[in-house]
Amino acid sequence: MEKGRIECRGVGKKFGDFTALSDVDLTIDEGDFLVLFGPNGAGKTTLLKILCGMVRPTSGTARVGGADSHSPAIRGKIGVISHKSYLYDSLMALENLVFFGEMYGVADPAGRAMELLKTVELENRRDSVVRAFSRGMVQRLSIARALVADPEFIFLDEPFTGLDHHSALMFQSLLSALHRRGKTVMMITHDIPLGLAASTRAAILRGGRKIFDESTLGTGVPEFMRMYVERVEK
Amino acid sequence: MNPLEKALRLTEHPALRAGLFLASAASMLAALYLSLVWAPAAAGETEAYRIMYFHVPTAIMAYLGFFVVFAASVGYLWKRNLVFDALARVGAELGVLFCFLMLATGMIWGKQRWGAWWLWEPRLTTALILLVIYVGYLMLRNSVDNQAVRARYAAVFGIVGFIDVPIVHFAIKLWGNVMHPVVIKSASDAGMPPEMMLALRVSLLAFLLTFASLFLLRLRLEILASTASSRLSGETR
Amino acid sequence: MRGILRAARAILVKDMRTELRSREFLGNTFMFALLVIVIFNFAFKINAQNAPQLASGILWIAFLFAGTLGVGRSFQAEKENDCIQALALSPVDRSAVFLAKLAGNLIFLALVQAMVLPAFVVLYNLNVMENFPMQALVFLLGDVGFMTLGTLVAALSANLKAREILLPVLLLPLLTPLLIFAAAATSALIGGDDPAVYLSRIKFLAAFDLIFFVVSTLVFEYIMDEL
Repeated sequence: MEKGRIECRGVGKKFGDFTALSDVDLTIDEGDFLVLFGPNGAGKTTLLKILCGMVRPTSGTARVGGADSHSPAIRGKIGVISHKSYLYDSLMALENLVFFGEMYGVADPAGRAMELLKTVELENRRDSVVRAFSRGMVQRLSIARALVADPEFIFLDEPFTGLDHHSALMFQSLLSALHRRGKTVMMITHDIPLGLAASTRAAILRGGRKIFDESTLGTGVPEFMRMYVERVEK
Repeated sequence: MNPLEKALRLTEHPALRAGLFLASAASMLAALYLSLVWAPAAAGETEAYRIMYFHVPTAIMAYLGFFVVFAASVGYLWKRNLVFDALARVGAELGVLFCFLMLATGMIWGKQRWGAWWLWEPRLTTALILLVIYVGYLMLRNSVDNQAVRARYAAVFGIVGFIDVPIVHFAIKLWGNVMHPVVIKSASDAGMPPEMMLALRVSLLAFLLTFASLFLLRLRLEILASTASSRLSGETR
Repeated sequence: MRGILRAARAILVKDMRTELRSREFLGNTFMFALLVIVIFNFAFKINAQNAPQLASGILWIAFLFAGTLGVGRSFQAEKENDCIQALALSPVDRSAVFLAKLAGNLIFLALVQAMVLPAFVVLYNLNVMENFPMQALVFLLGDVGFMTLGTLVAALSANLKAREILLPVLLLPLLTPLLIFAAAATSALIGGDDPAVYLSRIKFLAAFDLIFFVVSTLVFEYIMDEL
């Protein structure tokens, strides 16, 4: 049962003198979709970085799929989409995906890359270099990049920023398809309606602490917004 | 208690600090008397030879400082405890200080003995390269803001730099023999009368105590500065 | 081990592809190395008498300068869009990144050398390639040691503010022994010295390479541990 679960126990992170996170407990069960809200500087991105092994916590433990989030074994099962595209500007779309497919030891990198290009509707731009792409296209390709190894765990940091309408819609349906396939997802966003629509649970961070963590099934948007304003901004 | 605070406790001990300070001052005075007045003149050397009593200990202290950097760097990468990083930093600063003193005393002696401030003598040349390596180490530290990253990068460079030390020495000896076939014998090579040996030993002890005393003070300053800034930022938040 | 090599090859191919698309850097570096050689001629007034003595030093200085420019660039492509982070996130062993960058830098330096050497032979009227297999071995060993430390220090300085100045300031003192061994070996070969002389230098070079290759591969993962 631990296989698909994300578990934080007393996670804290200090950057020198600055406390970014303190004593965060958080469990995301297999197949859950957690959306993480909170004001800027609340520690959302730091928590995400700890969970995908980019940053070591200064206290507590973070486990993903039963392994320490820093262990190389689990890195192959995690897909990350951040504000940075993680794409090489001077490589073509297809080359980027094939390269990362090779990094993740995908059996048929070229085939997998073509499949993903189709999913994000970029197959006719496969031989264009990323430098020539619009912001929305870059974002779509970076989603494809994150999915190249068909990860069990998907972490998203503000994936909707800078997306055009078409890309946002495509992205939403892609996300719900992934969720239906039983992936464990954690997403950071400022967009409350979008976040609530996609998720099964919501958590709120403020000042490095978790102040809310409940199921969002059946929660109305206005109701949640009222609660958010009350808890976060008072 | 966090490990930083534990280390602070040790450096805080006033008796330890005062004792070390007094001991180093007393032994330094004794070393001055023994080496400048009491020790006999060296055969075939001018009185300038007496700088050897300070030159040799500074050289040893410099290498001690650099060794501290190496050991603390390994310790940091192994345990990821920032106390090791503070130790490495202090080791590098003292190493650079004593390395500079070693070069200065060596040059002063060289001016007397060879009539030139600088000959590309293998040992001095090695020291010069080491000085540049460890000044580089401190520059590297200064250009990283994030504490954990700084500690890690510095540790990597501290390890590689120290491994280079014997290789640099070896290579420069080879190069020196190629360009200057004359091997210059320094005063410390010759068989020394027991009085000279004693003066040198006392001086070595004095420098060792001074090193320890400075080390403790500098470490305490480092730790106080880091706790002060974390308290300050704690209050403003 | 095979996984590491496979990943390293993929990274190397990716880097070469990027480099081939912006070909000008190799040419620029070659021009720079050529310029160093020409300028040294003016500085030292090279003639038939002093050329054999000075040539190996000048040649290695030119390589060192050009190579330092080359390694300084090796992590720049990874910085755009935080790609280095993506490599750190992937399950490949970090030493694969080191090996790939090392191999790329070696190929780059070897290409620069292949272009500089003929020009050097003509301009200094000195046959550097007298004892070709041995001289090539000296270049190979010198390059490996140089690029091993170069790649490591380039990774250290890639994210720093004063990158351009820190890379040479940190790297060149570490390379002092290598410069001494390599220049001495090349000069012994040019001068037609006794084989025992250059063989011992070649042994030193090999030992330098081995020591720093092992150490650098071990410590590199700490640089990529948390970015």
